[in-house]
Amino acid sequence: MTQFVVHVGKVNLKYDHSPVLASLILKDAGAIPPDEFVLEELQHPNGPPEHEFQPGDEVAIGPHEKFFRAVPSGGGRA
Amino acid sequence: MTLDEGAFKESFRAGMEALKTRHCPDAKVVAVDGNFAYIDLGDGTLPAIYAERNARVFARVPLDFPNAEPYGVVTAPYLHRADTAPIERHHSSHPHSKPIETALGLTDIGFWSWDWQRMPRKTPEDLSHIYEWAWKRIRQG
Repeated sequence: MTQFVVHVGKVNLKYDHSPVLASLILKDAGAIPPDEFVLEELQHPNGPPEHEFQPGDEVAIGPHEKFFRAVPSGGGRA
Repeated sequence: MTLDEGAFKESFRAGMEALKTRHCPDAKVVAVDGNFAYIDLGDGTLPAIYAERNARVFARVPLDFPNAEPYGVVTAPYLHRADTAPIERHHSSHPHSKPIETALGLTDIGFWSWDWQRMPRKTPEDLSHIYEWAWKRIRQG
């Protein structure tokens, strides 16, 4: 069975289908509750973001590994 | 310098383990000041908005997390925007950055006033989110 690999920070995940809900990727990466995060797709590991997915968005994955980070929606200047 | 994390509360140790597993395998506590620990999140590449290319990032976290909220990010060196614009709530010689100075002998450091508003704080493992929480502030410039 084909497995698509995605990396979220240091967490490596595999899925056998595409697209995948961003909320599922966030949850699998430990970003819980997922609706308090956005999923940023990176150009390369630790690279600049090239796309931002909201939890309800579908994320197309494929045979090439993809790199993401789960960015919390919260945080504020004090 | 690394402190003995075995002396910390079980909940804090669980949070550190989650942080190491999910984001930052080399994360470690390098200083403690009162109820706050300073966690070394390692060295990272900065976005192009900065004159500097890399920074070492620290998060200031209460030892009784999740019962209290993290507050403050420290960077070494003190960062400057490439366009020379001032950075809001970014301080040099701030009292909250002194423990890093003392513990690591670093002097060129900056303290960023940044709090934990609307961040997950239900379980000890929510401490793992400190990594992206800190870097989010740095990326804002």
